[in-house]
Amino acid sequence: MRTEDGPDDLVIGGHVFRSRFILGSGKFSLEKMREVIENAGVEMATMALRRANVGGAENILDYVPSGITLLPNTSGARTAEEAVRIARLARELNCGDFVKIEVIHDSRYLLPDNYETIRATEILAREGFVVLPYMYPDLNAARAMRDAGAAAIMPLGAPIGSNRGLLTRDFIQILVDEIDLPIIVDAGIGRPSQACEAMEMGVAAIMANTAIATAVDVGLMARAFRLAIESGRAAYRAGLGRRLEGRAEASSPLTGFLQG
Amino acid sequence: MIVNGEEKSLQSSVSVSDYLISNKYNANAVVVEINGRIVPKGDYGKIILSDSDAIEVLAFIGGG
Amino acid sequence: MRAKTDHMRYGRHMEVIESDIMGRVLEAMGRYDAHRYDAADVERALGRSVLTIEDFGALLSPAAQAFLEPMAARARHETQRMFGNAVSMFTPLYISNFCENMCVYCGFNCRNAIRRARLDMEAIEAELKAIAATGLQDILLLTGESRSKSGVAYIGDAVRLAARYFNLVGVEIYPLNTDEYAHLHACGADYVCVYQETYDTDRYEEVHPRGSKRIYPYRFDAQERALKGGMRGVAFGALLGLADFRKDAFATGLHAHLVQKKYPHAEISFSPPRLRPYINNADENPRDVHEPQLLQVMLAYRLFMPFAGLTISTRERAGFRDHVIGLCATKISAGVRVDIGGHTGEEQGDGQFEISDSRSVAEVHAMILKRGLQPVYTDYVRV
Repeated sequence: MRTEDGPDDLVIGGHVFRSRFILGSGKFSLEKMREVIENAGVEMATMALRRANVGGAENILDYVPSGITLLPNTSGARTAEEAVRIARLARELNCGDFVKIEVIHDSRYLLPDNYETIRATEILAREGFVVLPYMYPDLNAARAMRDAGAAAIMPLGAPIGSNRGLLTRDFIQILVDEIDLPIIVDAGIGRPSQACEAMEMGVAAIMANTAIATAVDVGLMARAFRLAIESGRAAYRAGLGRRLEGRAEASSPLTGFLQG
Repeated sequence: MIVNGEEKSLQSSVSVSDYLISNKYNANAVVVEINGRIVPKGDYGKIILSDSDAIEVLAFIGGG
Repeated sequence: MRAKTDHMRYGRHMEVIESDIMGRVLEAMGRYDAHRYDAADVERALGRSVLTIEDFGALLSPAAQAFLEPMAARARHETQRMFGNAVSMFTPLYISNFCENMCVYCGFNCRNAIRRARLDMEAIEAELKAIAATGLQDILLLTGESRSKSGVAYIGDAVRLAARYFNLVGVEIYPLNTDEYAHLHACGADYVCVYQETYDTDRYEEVHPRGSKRIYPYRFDAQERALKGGMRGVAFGALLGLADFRKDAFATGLHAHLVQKKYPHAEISFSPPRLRPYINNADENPRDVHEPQLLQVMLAYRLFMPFAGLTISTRERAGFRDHVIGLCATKISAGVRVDIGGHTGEEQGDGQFEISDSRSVAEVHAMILKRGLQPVYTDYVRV
């Protein structure tokens, strides 16, 4: 980690981004989504793939400014095979090679299945996708995803849509400390301060959706997130030291025994 | 023919691109799968649909 | 006069593995300047819960000498957190002191006129029995470097024998190829100690004029080959004082750190053998390692890698050893003899260095209890 002044670009799979704010596009009207992308300075946004049952519907791609990287996600997949199928279909839409793997077959908590995600990562990385797996923060699973060719790791902060913040912060910190890939916190961020806190920890980028979509003033909340993410990143680069809890104070000198 | 899981009657043999046009789909905004295989965009004009096919027409929406 | 072998080129029969760790350690060590750190850098390092490599460098600097007490306080906290009150006990067993190397700093130097001996299996078994009777469960087998006198098959046989009497068998021998480590592991060895002596390639070349040990990269990669061969644990260390001890300690820590990252399952430990300074010099000499400097290195290892083991040998006096356990050291030798056949009283060969603490296992055990710590003889059971 450098602390010089200089460009602090986010590099994922060889692609360079200035912004560390990734937008989840669910729960927005198309107009609102465009407004958020512009206000938040977002350079990457997720999309889901669904059956187009009605012809003549609006094309979401018309609402995404040019230059934004599309991050199709495999939502709906319950197994690695389904995720791989969705990823291949999404790639046919000529929007790049990025894919966010999301494999969930728990409909109560919507927690991702790390094992299926590892399998999907391996297959898709071999096919040349830039793979960003969404996962439950487990160091062993993250290592397996990294070894399988993931370009980043996306641990959840809390269950999707819960807005409960960084419930898994200690385990995200472990990933930041141990895995040499961008760690992108996805799911659970409910407030700009939580996004800031994650960035201070050394997280590479934040993904948020519900927190913005459910705000009273969506555009303004998008800007608040942008500022919080920039602020947290600057604090991290400035060399924020973390304090140790519970340091024992010795009553008599521990080094009194030294000779010479 | 089954389209997106529903029975639809196929009037006559049409190419994929004709099918999309007549159903008001934007060919650039969708991806088509026939019997589990992805149809490359370049083949939309060449591949002819038949009554026994099961096709999926998918597009991006907001999500994730 | 015969031209000297290129110390950076692998010899015949020396397995070459794919690894970038040596390059990275040499590069970082080249850049490391202990004198550019100040008190603020040390304080910042002590304030972080996870130390960066830069922080480790700061803790090894002269500036950190003024911070030994807070470093010790934090090290004690970390040691307690990771190891509780446990202090492991073991002893070394030298089975052969034949050696083809000419290392200038070592008692086993092939030019030294010492009594050479190699224990046969019967003598080894007698030694093992004598040691096992003291209650120890963890033994470290050592040899000099001689494939003809103490080859891998001989060592393997000794390991097999030791595994019958001890739960944990380690080896501190010359570097081997992966398949040879695999053989020793199959015989019952679980950990391997290889000390680089000095990571400074020029100084290394100077002090190893002849013999296989002269080849730097083959020695450097030994831990990786050991792990690839199935060994559970590996130990790292430099002979502090052979060269600039701050640089050497920095390289040692970085070497261990990178191996740990690459082999997350590996059990890593450190050893800080030191060359005693000849004269008590007021001038600060980067090769003078007095007790405060030795402690500084040990505390820095502990803080940089809180979960790594740290072994204190009998090169140091009893008073020093007694105080570093619980503070940063997690493993201590006891009932030590460094000559060949010393444990049964049937000495056949001369020892490697002078022991400064000759206390028995029972005495060290009692000392550990008196310090409020828990002597541990065995950490696991091999199935």
